[in-house]
Amino acid sequence: MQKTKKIWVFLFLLPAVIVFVLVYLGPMVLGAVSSFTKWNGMTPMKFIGLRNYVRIFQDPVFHAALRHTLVWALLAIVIHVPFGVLTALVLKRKRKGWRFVRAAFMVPNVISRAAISLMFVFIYKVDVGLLNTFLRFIGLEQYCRNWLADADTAFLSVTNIWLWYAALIMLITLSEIFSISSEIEESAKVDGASPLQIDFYIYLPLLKRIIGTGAIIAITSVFKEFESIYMTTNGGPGSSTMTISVMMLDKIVQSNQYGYANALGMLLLLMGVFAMAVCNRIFSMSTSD
Amino acid sequence: MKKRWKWIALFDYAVMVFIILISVAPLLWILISSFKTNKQILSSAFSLPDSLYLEGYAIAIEKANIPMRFLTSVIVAGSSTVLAVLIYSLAAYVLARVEFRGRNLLFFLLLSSMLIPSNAMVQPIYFVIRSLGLYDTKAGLILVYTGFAMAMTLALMRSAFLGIPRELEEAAYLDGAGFFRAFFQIMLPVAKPAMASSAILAFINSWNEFLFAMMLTSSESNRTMPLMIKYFTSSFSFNYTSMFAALVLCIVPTLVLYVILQERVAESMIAGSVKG
Repeated sequence: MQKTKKIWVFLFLLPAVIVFVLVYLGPMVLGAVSSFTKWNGMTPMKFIGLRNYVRIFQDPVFHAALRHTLVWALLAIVIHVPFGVLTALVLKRKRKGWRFVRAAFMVPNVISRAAISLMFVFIYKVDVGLLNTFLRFIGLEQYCRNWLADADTAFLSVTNIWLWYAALIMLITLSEIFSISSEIEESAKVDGASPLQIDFYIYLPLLKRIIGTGAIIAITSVFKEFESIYMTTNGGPGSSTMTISVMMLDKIVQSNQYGYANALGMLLLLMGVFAMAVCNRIFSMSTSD
Repeated sequence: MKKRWKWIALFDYAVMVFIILISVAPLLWILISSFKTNKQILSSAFSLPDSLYLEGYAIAIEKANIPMRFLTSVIVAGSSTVLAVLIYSLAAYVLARVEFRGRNLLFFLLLSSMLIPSNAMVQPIYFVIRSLGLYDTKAGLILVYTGFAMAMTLALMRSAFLGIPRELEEAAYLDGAGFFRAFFQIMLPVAKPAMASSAILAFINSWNEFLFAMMLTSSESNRTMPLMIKYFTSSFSFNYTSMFAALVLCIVPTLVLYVILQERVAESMIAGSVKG
């Protein structure tokens, strides 16, 4: 009996472990090792120590990509997450149509990022684009431009593709709010607290932990963001919208610099882990009291 | 006092209108435009179509081979979803119920897959898939997508199994059921809601995945729906009508799934992101 159970345990775990080795552990080791080599996939890897990393840190394109990633992470924290929390606080008052708004907000999250990105390409188009047509319609023709090709507006335009779509943050915050007893709010109302006071002094402190989770989700998805650049500007004009993922793909597809690309991948991974650790630290420290 | 509440109501509705505007309006615009002729699109972006012009759809379906792509997407997303739910349910059950050395380490290791941004691993995963002889096959994509669902499914299923009282299994063992039967006949049926949540998330993610679909396939028969969009931007950029039509066709399947399963999808996303 004990013996057959052991065999079953082994068999139950085996498929998951195999998938883990093939899709995560193997690639991870390969990526880490090859990041210290010169490798084009045809000839064997050649060990070159830290030279890929040194070259990356001297590369002005990487500086731009790093800056953009950090600005995005910052925007995720100061705009994306607060906007999601704000919508949750608004929807919790259950105004007429709140269910529909909640459902509608989710729509961009369930359809493919590539499709959303192409949709924005149309919105930003010079001639037929929704944005320029709208500007002309309300008489602000002087502001019309080729939003994605103009170096001044390209970065803001691609940022706009994800910045306001905080439905996931809204969703988890709202479900947390609904799990809080409404008696707290009722008694505050009786004491004469204004809606803003209720939101700020009663709800926000209780939502700290879930906002922390939201911050982690937002930052990880910023690091994962790929289609919204690749389908729109592909990093240009110049490198004004370049990100690490797009730069990496360019090195793989255009010039077969696998070692260099994987060094970029390692940096992306380390940044992700680091950001997650920082978020965890900040939000678990402040909830412990 | 009363006045203050009024201002808040105004603010609330402003936020709600803004959300509808950014979430639904662009999609409506795409849908309406897909029924207009190219000339109409160029002359006025806002107007409603003169007549129901379906040529855009006809061209998109024919040139981009949409029926075949649709089938490919269904096979890839469907198989990886079924595989993921099955494989990780097995593992999650053992990790939730059986005591063995290194259990926590193994669980932590498998869950750490969540920390790895998948696009950081594009080239290594490409290399592994190529070495396995799975480049440009549906099986290769299925394997990778099954992997991507790991952390989420494992976390959801494990917490579901942890929530089931032990007496249930013990009763089954007393009835003479073995480990295998206790799992499939007793535990798995009870964990159905978690399975549904995991399946929905895995399916949506696999269906929408773009980067690996692009890197791991080359032949037409293995290209999924989202890649159609890239095809259109590169070789169809002059024909707006069929691009709009292609966009609609790419969006509709997940949208329909979402509308039907709305509450479930929302619940799954909450569970997936809070537990995962």
